[in-house]
Amino acid sequence: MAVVKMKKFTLLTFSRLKAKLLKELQKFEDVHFKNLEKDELEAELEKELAFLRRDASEEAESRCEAELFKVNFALARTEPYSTAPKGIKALTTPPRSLGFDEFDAYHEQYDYNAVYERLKAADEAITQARTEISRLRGENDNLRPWLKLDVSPEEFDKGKYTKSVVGTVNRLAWDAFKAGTEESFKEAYLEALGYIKEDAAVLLTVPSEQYDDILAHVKTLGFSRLSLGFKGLPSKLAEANNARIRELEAELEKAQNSMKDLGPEHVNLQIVYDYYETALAREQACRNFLATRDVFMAEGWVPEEEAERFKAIVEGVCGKEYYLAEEEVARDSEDVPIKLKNSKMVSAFEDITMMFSTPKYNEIDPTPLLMPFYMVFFGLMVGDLGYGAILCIATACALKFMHFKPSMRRFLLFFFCCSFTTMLGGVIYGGAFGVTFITPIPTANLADFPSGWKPIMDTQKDVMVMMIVTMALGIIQILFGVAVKGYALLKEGKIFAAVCDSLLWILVLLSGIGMFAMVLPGLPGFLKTLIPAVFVICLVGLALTQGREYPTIVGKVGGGLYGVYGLTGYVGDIISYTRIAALALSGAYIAMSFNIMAGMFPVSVRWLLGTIVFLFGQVLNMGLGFLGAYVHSCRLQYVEYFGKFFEGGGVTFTPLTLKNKYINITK
Amino acid sequence: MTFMEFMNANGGIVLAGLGAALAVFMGGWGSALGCGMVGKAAAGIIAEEPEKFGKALILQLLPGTQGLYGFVIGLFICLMRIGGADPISLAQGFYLLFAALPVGIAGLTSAKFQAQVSTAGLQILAKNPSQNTKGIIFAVIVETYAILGLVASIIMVLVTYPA
Repeated sequence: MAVVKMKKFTLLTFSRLKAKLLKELQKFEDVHFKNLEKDELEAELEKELAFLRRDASEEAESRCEAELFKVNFALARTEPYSTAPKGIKALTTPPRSLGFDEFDAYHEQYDYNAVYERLKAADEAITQARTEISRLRGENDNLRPWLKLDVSPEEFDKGKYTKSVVGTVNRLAWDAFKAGTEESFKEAYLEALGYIKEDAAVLLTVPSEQYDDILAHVKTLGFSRLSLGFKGLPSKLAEANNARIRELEAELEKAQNSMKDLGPEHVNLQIVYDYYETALAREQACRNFLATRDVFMAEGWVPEEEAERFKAIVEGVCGKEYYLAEEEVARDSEDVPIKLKNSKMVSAFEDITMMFSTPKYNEIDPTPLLMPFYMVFFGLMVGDLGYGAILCIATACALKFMHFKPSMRRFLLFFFCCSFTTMLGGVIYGGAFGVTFITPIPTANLADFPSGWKPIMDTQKDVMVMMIVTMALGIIQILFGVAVKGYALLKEGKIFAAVCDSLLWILVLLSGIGMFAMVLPGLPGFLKTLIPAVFVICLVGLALTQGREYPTIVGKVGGGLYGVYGLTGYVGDIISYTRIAALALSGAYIAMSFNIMAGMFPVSVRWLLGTIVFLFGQVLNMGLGFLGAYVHSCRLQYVEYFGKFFEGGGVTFTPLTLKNKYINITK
Repeated sequence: MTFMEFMNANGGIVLAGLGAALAVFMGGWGSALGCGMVGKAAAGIIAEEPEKFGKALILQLLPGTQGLYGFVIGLFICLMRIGGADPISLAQGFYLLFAALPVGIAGLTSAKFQAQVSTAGLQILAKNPSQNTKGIIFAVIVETYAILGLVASIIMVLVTYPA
């Protein structure tokens, strides 16, 4: 239930054993290597180890990466045609399971390169066909205005008595243009063949001897001459293009079909992908080592309880050909990686801790200490029996019937835990989906509660009570945090510091709150003098001790006074907890307003439209509520709670592991 | 009828109506501005990585809640007060107008700034999608002040309303 104790090791063995050893350690999944390159080796070691060089094979890494590139390409192309189940079904089907040895040898017996080559050929054929088709279509677009032309352009000048020319005239001016030209030159033949945007595509055929005159004339009327970029009859050309397009489309379909045929390979390619990711991880692990030609040296950490198994693995691979030294890790060590170990439920909340920071090796793992608070805050922020029940059922079903990665399962389990407090919150506020119906408390206030019964905390009438209750929860969490700090200091043997930095604060806070309570009637007389006395004495104590670490007298006095000023920070912290009430209120009122809206439809359509509005509104509010509660519960832990006892800043334990994105590898 | 006579007779309901309108349109204004801003930036990411649509959508929706908060207050002023059984005096009208301001102004301003944080969060989504949650958290922190505005308005309209 804490930060896992680590053992540091130094291992030397022959490089020829490295590949096998790394595979075994990867299966073991509990070794974190130290990067020796970065490390400044101790002075006396430096001379001894100067002949060692960095042990990384860029060649091997890039070979893996090149294979991964191919597999990724093949995966992307086969994905649309994959025969694997999709959607919900994909989640409810267990991932394919493979033993490690089978997994490790799979890429040798499965010819994924052939699949890749076929896919690549098909892909190239598809690209080529598509480019060609779009080029031909573009050509046809250019031909379209001239389809009625029954002379090919190269014949224009070759007529016995006539010459032809093509060009454009604004389509609105066409009639006037035709009439004007025919009036001046009776022999001229004009035809509008089609349209190019705003212009008419015009063929002009005239007697050869009048050619220059007519051309000069029509130019003044707005005719602009075009030279056509094709040879032959446009209609014939277009027909040929269309025939070629049909041919290409057939080719395209063939290529697509051949891709489709490879769809079943998708699931096999996934195994190859996982294999190369796993192999790449091994190659990258070598970056951490130092080596000579025949020997390599690794340093790193294993959890103390796994140290024996680690030794057995090394011995299993290397026989007697190795050197292994193990040493204890100092409590204050900075570079030791941190692994957290908690019970299944608590470990679901580790992500909350890790999102803030990894603890240091000499710190307490705050996860079990934040879990109950987190759950209660979350529950009180959402505070709806209905939302809690939905969350509970949804996460339970997902955990039971679906297959997720461990990180996702942790996340689901986390919400599963919070769903119970959410339901509890719903019971306290007395309702589900914004409707109040759980009213166990008798009340005399018949104006607001006609039945004479009210919820434990009513979101309409007990707003002040909610604020006070949430602040009280805040005080409990803050006192707890300060006490944890005292406990940590005691464990280190710093009794004086524990008294000054923990006990005094707790007493000041308690007596400070006690002074507010002094207005209560029936308080025993001696308390009326005791509480202020404790408050003042502790305050003086804080002023005297909070600056003790400063070297100068001025520093000590100033630090002490500043320490006392820190009390205002506690006031701010406590008020911050009213956000729990604020989120609960906003959620309750938004739910209520959607219910009001749903009820506003006329009776005839209320069932239909009202239900739609109700569902939409409640789902929206539920989403908002969960998101807000998630973030704000985190914030209360990080700022108000962790600030009292937890610093973080450790290195996360990142062991060499199997990289199975798609499949399940059994060891 | 002088202006003051008109105000004495109808001012309450006029000001309450103004309050309801302000709450709805200021919140809506902020949200429209915010969602628009984030949506524009999100479109850039989706062009290259369409599979990030769902996550980008969440970031876009974050500044959308202020409009909802304003709408809730507008609804409460209309249904509980204007449409309620008791007539609204001039003083109560002023009170309801002021009650609309926390959600209106906090919604308008917070939506804008939340949108800026969300847009920055899109950068996280684009470059390091595994850390996307943190971008969402940054944006939700800004939301706090819209929620506080909403709660203040709720308390003013429903809890401490001077009958």
